[in-house]
Amino acid sequence: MSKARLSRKNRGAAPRADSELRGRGTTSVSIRFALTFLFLVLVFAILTASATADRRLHQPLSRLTVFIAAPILGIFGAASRSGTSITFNGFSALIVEACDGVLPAYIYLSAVLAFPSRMDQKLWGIVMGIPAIFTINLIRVITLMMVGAYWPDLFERVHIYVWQALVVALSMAVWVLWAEVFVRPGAAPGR
Amino acid sequence: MSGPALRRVGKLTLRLAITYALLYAAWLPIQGGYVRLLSDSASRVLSLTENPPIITGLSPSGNTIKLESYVSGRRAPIASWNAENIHIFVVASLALVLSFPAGGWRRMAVRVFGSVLVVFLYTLTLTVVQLRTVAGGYAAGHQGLNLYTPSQVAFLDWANRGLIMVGMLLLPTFLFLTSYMSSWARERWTAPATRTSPETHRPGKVQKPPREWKALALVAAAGAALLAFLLTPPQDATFEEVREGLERIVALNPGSPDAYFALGLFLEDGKRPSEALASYEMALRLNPQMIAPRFNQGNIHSVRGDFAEAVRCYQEVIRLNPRHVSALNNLGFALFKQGLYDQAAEAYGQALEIDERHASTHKNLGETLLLLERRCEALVHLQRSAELDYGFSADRRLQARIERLKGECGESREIVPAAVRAKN
Repeated sequence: MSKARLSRKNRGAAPRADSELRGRGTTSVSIRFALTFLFLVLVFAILTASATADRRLHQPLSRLTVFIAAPILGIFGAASRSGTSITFNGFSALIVEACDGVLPAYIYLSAVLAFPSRMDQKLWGIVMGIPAIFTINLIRVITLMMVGAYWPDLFERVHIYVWQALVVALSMAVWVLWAEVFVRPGAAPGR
Repeated sequence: MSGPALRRVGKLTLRLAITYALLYAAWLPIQGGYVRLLSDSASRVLSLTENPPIITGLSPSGNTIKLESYVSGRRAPIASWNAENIHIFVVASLALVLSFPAGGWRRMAVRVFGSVLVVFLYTLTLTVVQLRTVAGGYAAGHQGLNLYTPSQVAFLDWANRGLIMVGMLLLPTFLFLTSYMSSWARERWTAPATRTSPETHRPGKVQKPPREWKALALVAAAGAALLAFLLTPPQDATFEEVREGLERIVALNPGSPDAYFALGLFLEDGKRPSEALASYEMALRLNPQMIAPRFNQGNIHSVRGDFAEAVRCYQEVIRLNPRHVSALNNLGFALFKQGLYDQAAEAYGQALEIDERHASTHKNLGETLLLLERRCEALVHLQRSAELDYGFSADRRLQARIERLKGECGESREIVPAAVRAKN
């Protein structure tokens, strides 16, 4: 057995086998990441769609967003708030479930958790990323209120197309920053 | 934060922006073709998933898809869906995929083909859901009809919102992350290997090409099979399928006269007069002021030769709408068939007072006046019918009759007063 192995190695077969393993490793790591990511997104989607999540997560977050956004908007004009609704210069909006930042946050969280990295690196990703995403969402709400008050015709376009794309881009930018800064300098992926 | 990391992120952002701009420019001329592909595929998917069928045809035109349905009783375009915004899902997703170096064109080809397949399946699902939503919205808005059960409406609404959310956030994120992961893993696995064992690894030979070819062939075969399946033209809905669909709409809207009228119209066109009469009767019970079912009942009776009943229906229509030209014309015809020529001429005359350009009424009046031996008046109307309708002008028998009457009466001059005289 060992003779045969030696003779194959001597003919230069071993490096090929080695590279095949490496190739399989690349693919399996990518597939494992993709599946874990989708699984986590599904789990978070189910968890955040419940009535309890609405009461304990979405509504407090919407109220918090309004609570922070109203005084900032007050710098630029007449702003008022009531529950999850906010008014700026006569333009009113209701911060609903889809606007509270939970969705991009759990997509980001899924990406961080699924990415092959150590626990401390993941923790950094969560500590750094989640507040960043809620800040991005807060900026989104404030700018949308301004667009609604000053350019109401543009509101729907900016709401649906511009900010949706920006939320994706900025969330991914935060994630890439985390991956490049906190994970890349380390050793091989933890999994 | 490390400088190289920031440089990498900056480079990636710049590459993404350039790729997005280039892809968007490339997308504009092909969007119409993509919408056509979506339309043909959605047609096939709808034919498989809608039972009974509600949307019976799709026709793309530029960025819009027109929907055909029989919800009004006859297959006709009902609404259109604008697919212009589909580029957001396609271009953004593919730009994210293309922004990462894949380590060779074969890898990139696998990645792009795979992503195109995923994006196409996503946009197709969105198209099908939105087309069904548009059809439901049209029927509710224009006819006050529910096409779907409350649970189906709730599902469509949920699917619609979910798909938009997936397309806007999850799909681009997923493609971005998997591409990033793929590049990351490749760098991780290949770099140390090439450094540590240079004698055993030749550059560019890290992975065996056959694996990539296999993946490429697999993705291409899956895409080709899917397209072949989706682009097989669906069979037209059969009479029984459409009937089942309309009966389902009636069952969903038991208090709607429009639902019964649509079913009656379809049955009448399908040569089921008895069943059509029953449907029209139901529509009239729900709304006795409806004109169309009563008028169509008159037509069915007329075709069956029950002219007395036809006269009763047309008179009811005229009572509700005294300016209903077709009802006056058809009333004249039913009276004519019963030998009541004077009354028929009077009905035709009333119709022409309302619409002097009604060619068939002129012809009918002309024929009636001939039987009443008012030949020169008949000539005026026969000539006018030939002037107004190309079909009549090409009718040799009519032309011969006109020539004969001209010989008797000379050239006719008056037209409108003749109609009035006919009435008197």
